[in-house]
Amino acid sequence: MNKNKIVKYGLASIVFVFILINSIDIKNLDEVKAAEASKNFDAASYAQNFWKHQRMASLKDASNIDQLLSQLEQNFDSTASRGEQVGISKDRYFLVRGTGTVEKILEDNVVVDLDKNRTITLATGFIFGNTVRNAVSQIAIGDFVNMTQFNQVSIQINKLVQKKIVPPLKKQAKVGRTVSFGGALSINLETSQLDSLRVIPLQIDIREDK
Amino acid sequence: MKHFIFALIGLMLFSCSGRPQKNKKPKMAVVISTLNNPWFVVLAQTAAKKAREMGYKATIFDSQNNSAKEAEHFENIIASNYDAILLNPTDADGSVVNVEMAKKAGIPTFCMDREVNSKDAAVSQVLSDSFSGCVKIGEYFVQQLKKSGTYAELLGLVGDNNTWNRSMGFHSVVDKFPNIKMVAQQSADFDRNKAMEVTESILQANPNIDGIFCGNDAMAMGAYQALVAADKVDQVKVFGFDGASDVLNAIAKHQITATGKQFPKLIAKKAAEFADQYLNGNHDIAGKIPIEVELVTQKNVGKYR
Repeated sequence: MNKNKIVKYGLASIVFVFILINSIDIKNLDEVKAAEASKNFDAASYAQNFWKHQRMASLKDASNIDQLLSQLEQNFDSTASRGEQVGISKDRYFLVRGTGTVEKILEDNVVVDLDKNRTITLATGFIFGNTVRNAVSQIAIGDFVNMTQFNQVSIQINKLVQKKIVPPLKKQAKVGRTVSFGGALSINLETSQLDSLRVIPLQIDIREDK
Repeated sequence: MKHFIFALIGLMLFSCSGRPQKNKKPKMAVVISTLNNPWFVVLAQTAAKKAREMGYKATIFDSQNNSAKEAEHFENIIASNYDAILLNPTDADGSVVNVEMAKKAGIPTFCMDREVNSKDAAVSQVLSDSFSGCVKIGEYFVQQLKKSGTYAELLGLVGDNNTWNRSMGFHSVVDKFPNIKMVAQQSADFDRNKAMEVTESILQANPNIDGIFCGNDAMAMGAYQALVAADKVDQVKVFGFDGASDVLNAIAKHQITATGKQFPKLIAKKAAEFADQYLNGNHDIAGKIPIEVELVTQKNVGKYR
């Protein structure tokens, strides 16, 4: 092979390799798998997992509703500000536990008498919004690829509340019965009236009268 | 030897030319999806103004709702050694590659109003909590229609996550009421003129609707125009989203029923501030920051005008 051919073939090879390298996009396999998984986010499974494995554990650390209300009465701003917050908002969220007596049954709520003439309502109508999701600190916004996924989690958790808690609560709640509950509530720093706080129930236990 | 010395001098000059001069003003690029919408003009101008107040040179780039145009801007921004990018993305998926390109070039991106579908491409994403805002609108919508009636929905740009978060929030409430039925759902691309055309078509097929929910205020105004032309303003309640001044005025005049008020100036200022903090060494910035949306109705509109 003469010198010219060697140079020609050599240059052609270099050009070929250059084009080949620039035509191939090499990515880390784990990154590609993670990207695919994120597109296939299953909010229903996420919510089910929360319901099975995190719900009761979260409620163990919930604030006692009587103590919370008392603290809010004494110092609303400082107490309310301790609640969970997502982004920039005037809403703060709490997980709460308490026990009281069923005082009234309304179309969308059950009114429960607590200590010291305080009352709280437990939601029994349609469950909307992000109260439960935002009150649970383990459900962190940074864990989701986008707001759509984060919001779908709210929708699915609300569905579980609607399906698993609301029907037995509506059925068993009778005036005079004792109800123990765990749930989530939101407080607006500007507008909250303490006598209209509404708990989205995550757990209930209703006992007959003595 | 002579050649070696010249080569050395040349190498030294070359390596110096890429380094920014110490006394050169740092720069922020403000890349906006479109300046054809007054809401985004406010976003862009506020971001640029805040950046300048903090000592940056700020330039606004208009992507004209085109991901390819946005990519061109990013190439220019990288080549021009900008220090940070304040981005209002054209597409939640399509814009990711641009943000990652900037990240590889060492330029941090801070998203405003719209997000990209990535946990870590952008340093931070400051956006309205569209879902919660539309839950509030949905609850009010149900109340205004007295839990019964038919309605149409005008969606925004299908590539914008805000479109789906707003629709999802609205439907998470309204769909629970079986006597409220959606008879039409169509995209009008967040555009007023397109919304007017789409509403005209919807009204021809569904002349007796009771409400229209629009994914933004520009579309709400377009829908209202169509209702005026069809002489149906008293029959159909219109709901928007943004809190734009023309809709706030329309609410005050009882022409539009309600909207969700966003805070574009707050979004823009926060994004610029986070960029400044990041450039000054504070990297402890939340990846996503939703900002509350407030319901504006004919009862409380005075608070917002």
